[in-house]
Amino acid sequence: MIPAAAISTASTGPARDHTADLPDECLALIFQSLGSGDRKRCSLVCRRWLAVEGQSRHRLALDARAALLEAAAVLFTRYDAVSKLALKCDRRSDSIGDEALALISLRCPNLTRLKLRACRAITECGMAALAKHCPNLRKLSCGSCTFGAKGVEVVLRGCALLEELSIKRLRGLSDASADPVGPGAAAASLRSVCLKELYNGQCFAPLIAGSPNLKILKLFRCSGDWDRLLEAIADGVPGIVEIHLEKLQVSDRGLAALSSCADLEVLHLVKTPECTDAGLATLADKCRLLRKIHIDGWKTNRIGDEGLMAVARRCPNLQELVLIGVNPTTLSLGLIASNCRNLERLALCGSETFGDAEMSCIAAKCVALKKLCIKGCPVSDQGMEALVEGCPKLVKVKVKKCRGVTPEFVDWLRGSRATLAVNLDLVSEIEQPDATLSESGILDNGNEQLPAMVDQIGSVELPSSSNGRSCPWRARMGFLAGRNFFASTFRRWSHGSSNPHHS
Amino acid sequence: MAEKIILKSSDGEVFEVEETVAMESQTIKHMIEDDCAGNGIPLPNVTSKILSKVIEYCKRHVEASAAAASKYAAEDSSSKPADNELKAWDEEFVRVDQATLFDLILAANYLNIKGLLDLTCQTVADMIKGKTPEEIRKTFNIKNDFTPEEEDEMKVRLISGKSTKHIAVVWQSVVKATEPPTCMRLVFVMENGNGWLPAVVTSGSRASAFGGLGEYNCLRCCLAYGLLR
Repeated sequence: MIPAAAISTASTGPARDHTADLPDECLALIFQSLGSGDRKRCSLVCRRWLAVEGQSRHRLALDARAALLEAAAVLFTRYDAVSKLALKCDRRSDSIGDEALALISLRCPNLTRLKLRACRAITECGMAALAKHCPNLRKLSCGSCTFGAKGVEVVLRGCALLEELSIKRLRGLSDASADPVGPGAAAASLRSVCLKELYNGQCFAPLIAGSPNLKILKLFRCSGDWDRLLEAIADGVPGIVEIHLEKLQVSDRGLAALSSCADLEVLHLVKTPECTDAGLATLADKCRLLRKIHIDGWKTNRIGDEGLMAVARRCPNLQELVLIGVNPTTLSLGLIASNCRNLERLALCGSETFGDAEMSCIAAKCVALKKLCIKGCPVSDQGMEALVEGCPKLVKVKVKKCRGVTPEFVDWLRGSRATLAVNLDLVSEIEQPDATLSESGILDNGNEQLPAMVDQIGSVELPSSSNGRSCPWRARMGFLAGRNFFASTFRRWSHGSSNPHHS
Repeated sequence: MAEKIILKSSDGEVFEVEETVAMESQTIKHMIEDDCAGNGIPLPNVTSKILSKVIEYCKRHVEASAAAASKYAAEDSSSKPADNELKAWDEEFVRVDQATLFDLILAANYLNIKGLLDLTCQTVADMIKGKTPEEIRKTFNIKNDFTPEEEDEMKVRLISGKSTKHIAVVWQSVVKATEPPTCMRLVFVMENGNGWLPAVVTSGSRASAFGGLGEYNCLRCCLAYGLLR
């Protein structure tokens, strides 16, 4: 960016305020490029800037503790054009309730996006007010709220333009009075549904099945049997393009059901140990358009060479492949490299079988590969040497926690291939080797993440983090708690004991 | 045979430009499509100095698009160097004095040239980033037309409540509190980096009633404004 000093502020005549010549919309355009802090300071420059800034402020994030009710009227007089609003409360405090939500929604008739976090005092009445006053709502994301299925239903009935719905940890779904929730008026507009950590999330089955234009479906850590639901909904959502299944009770049956969605392009299968090679093969067989596949096998070896070879044979469009806790060998990797001529991004984490032979195979055959990331694999300097000549399009390679790869070698590699960016992270003494694998989804900070190294690929859409108030100690606590939960869950699954959450 | 369009600046100068270049301006594009370009297009809001710069911008960007298109057709995926070149050219283009910069914004707005408008507005935004209100005023010679009372009020706003006084405070700088206030029940709305933090302090209690950032802001503010004895 241009340093301010480079722009001459010495004008040729007496100093004048050129900003006064700008129409309001140009001033607003300038404010749009500024962050919240800068905008705040701009609003204190002069009256005109105060007015324009307030009118053009479209995005607002508020701490939604109960006291907000008293300030809301004033706030929204100043900010009268808000279209994207986040109301976040912390867990320990009382949140705003229905009265505040009704007031706020009344003042924000142009609201297109709303994010609610831990607003436990809001009931379906508040949500009904929201639906009534904000009919243009396109995106609703709620986490840790308690307004139950009814609260979601009223929004679906009132907001016919709703495109994205994300529900996490919603209480009240298992009430006796909770009927299954259909898509309501939003049936034709719904594009993306994300359900996380719900008990009785199956009550949203009609919602999913009744949205013919649904493109994205994400299911994370929701209790109960999802095979049946996937079988029921697959016909209703033929146009689905992206599916995420994480820590769900889903098996090859569910994958077989999904194989009828021939337009599928993106598949994330994370820690679903009942999905095996057979299921993946069935899916790959019918879904020829798959271009991004992420599989976290949780080191259970249910998915390996067989499934990947099926992918290699059937999915020539594959652009991105991420394998975590999966053990492929040259058998499948070679086939993928030969058949998937568009493979641009490859990541392997915690593969016990990815060694020098596999590395050489990739280097020799992956002609289109641009980015490579290897973490916690038994590859060594010898195998990496193949990268001097191999993968002609390679731009970036990241090696993390691979004990066989030395810094001296990496320096040499950088010297031998100048256009290649090489990043080496060494094994740290403090971290537990397993930590990074079970990291995903366990951190109790509201962010859904796959292991951090996937960021290097730049293809995973991480939800935007909250306002920067990170609580590392809490995250670690959550991580430890979560790790025990999932360890025990997995033991339950692998011993075939019945799911205690059966409804 | 490339079509030429005549453009006339406010000070009577005539510019002949290729149609593709002129059509970078949506305003001119509509005029051409509506067949109003016959005897040349008068631009009474744009001086010759600024118009020549605008034309320079449009020419360069039309060239860049054409080059990118032909590269794409030739399946040459290395467009990065060209992008960087254009970016560098843009940066140099806006290295002008303020008067010119703002005139360019006005021209880009009037002529509806999105790229130029975005570029120039971003440039001004960069001049604002990280500055305090006073520094911003200095940079642009803006007069502070708030009365001292108004400035205070923006920071301290009285909302009458039931039996207690409720105050909403907008506070921009981080200040450390030195002593606990002897306060009445107050409701504060403060701004941290991203949002507003409502908080309640009951009589005699300290900052711990607040939670999160900005606790100290509030107390000091109240002390400074003599709201607390």
